Amino acid sequence: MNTILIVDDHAGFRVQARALLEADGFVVVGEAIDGASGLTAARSLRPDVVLLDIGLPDIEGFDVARELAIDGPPPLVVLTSSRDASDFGPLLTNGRQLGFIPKDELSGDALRALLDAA
Amino acid sequence: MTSTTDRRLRRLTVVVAPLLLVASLAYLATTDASGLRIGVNAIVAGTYLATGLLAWARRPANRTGRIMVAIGLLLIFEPLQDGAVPGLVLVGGMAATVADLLLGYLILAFPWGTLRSRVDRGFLAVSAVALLSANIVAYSGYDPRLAGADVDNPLLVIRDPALADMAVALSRLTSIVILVGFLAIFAARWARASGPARRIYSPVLIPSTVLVIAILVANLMSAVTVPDDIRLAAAVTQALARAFIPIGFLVGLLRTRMARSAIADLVVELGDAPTPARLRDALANALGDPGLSVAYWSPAAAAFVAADGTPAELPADGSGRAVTVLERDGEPIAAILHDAALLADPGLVASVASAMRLAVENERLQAEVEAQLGEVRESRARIVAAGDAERKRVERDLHDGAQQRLVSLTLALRLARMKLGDDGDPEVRQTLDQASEEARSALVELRELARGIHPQILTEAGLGPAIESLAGRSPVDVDVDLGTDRRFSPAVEAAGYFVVSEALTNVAKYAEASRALVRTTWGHDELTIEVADDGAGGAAIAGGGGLRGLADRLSALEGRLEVVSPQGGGTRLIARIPTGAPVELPG
Repeated sequence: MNTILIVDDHAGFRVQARALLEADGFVVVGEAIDGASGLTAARSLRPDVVLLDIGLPDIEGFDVARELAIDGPPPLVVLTSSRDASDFGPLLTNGRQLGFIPKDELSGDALRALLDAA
Repeated sequence: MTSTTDRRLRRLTVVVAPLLLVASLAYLATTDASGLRIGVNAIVAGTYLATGLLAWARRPANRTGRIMVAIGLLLIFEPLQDGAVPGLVLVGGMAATVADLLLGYLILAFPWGTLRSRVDRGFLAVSAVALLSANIVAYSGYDPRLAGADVDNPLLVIRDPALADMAVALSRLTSIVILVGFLAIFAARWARASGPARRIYSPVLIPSTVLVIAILVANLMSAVTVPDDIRLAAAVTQALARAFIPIGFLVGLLRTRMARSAIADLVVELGDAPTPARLRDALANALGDPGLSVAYWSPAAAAFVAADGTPAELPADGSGRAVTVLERDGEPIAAILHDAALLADPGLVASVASAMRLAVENERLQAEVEAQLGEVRESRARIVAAGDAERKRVERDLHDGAQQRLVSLTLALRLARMKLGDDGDPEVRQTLDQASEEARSALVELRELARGIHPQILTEAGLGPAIESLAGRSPVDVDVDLGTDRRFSPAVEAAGYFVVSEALTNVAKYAEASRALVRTTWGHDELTIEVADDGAGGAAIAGGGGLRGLADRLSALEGRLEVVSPQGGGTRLIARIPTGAPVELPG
């Protein structure tokens, strides 16, 4: 349970996220810069986890999460954002994602905590 | 003529006329003219004098009174033409002719006091010339010796009896033609007149028609031999008809006067800001003219148009209808199209026009106020919307700029801390930990700031979740009762959010309350938001306070804010916002 696909349009975050997660034992198998390429990558790479930014340029992260569930067993989706949870309220409790980690709280431990609770 | 001159002339008439009458009667008593005829004539003359003086006194501007007095004076001499003195016969004849011509003028000029159509004017002018010439011609063939009198006619020119007879016949023919002409004009006028006009005309036209027919009959009878009784009866009928005409004038003028009392009712009715249809009906009623119509000036078309915008046709001269134009500052604003007979009382139409001007002015001012109010509403809504858009922009800038950088900084510090591990320099470790704390605090503060500027949750999840978020962050216990989970336009949701935000802020800062309640309900296209607390009360929408700003924001949306806050009795804020059709956004 340790392959990750990072979907985020912000290059700086992708670099930092990869560095943080790989330092904690995860394997980052791919990166995508928007929802469409994220869906394609997810289907071809079949990662265990997708770290998905809510604010993507083409589709909202919530919709991508929904799409991921359509063909075959979906990967676990962890939503992220520069904003914190209180900016999204009930949207984070409904929907197909496993959970939400604000970007500033991202770390291998935080991710592992979510995965263990699944 | 000034009014003092008028009064003096009237007094003179009152003195002179009876003297003339007495003199004339005295003379006539010496002739063998019928006593009945002289008596009736005197009465008729008296009727004209009395009515004329009355009309002159009441309506000095109208010529009718003076002309009637003149007729009365002339009629005093009328019986002289049956006498024996040729000079007096001529005087009597001319007096009678001129009196009849003046009467003809009065009848055609009724009720305005002047002739209004070219046909009338032309006809009367031609009649005058023809009749007077015919009289002179006939007189120049009149030989009193043929009737057995013992005097000469100094103006006897036509000596041939046959020619003299022809002259008389010609004179009679002229009279007959003129009389028939009068009948034709009466008939045409009656046919063209509307109801109210006929009511005004009839008291004069009826005796006038009788008179004309009587004179016609008399003229025709003079060509044949008729028993004296019948001749006398005809003469008396003529005299009576003549006498009834001035009475008819008075009645007719009285009928135009009665319409004035309707003006008072009209003003009250028009004060109610009537629709164009009601306005027309009110005016038609007041003036007794059912065919009345109202036209409004259209600056765009530079013409009068009916209330529905179609062009209005102005009546032609002599068509029996007239137009009274209402003006403001020299520019036309409206016109009343009515029966021409109503112009007989100039004050009448003027009063109606004034009343209507008030109503039209009222309507115009109301329309202007509505338009201005509309502009104000729109501009207020635009200002609020612009403010909200600006806030969103600032929040976005904060998010895209400073927030991203702090996030990046936080992650970089975390990476550095990880790389350092637990074995590195403890001072470096401590510095990194402190730096991380600082960055975290900065981010939290920034997020708070951004939320105060524009709550992103409102855009993402709607009013309900935004209210719950506010309640959760309040230091006071807040119960939330959401009666609707519908979404509304951004302006409405923003207004609702700020009501709750401001109210809960006040509760936390001033109310000294232990609990608060936020309730939303939606019904009849109106969103209601209530925030109540059990604190100290005493809140008010004072000028400049946060509640004032709220009230303004709500007004811009046609909503309203109610504050119930008795001292010591807690505070209740109730905001009502019209929502129109709610917006169903995908969840």
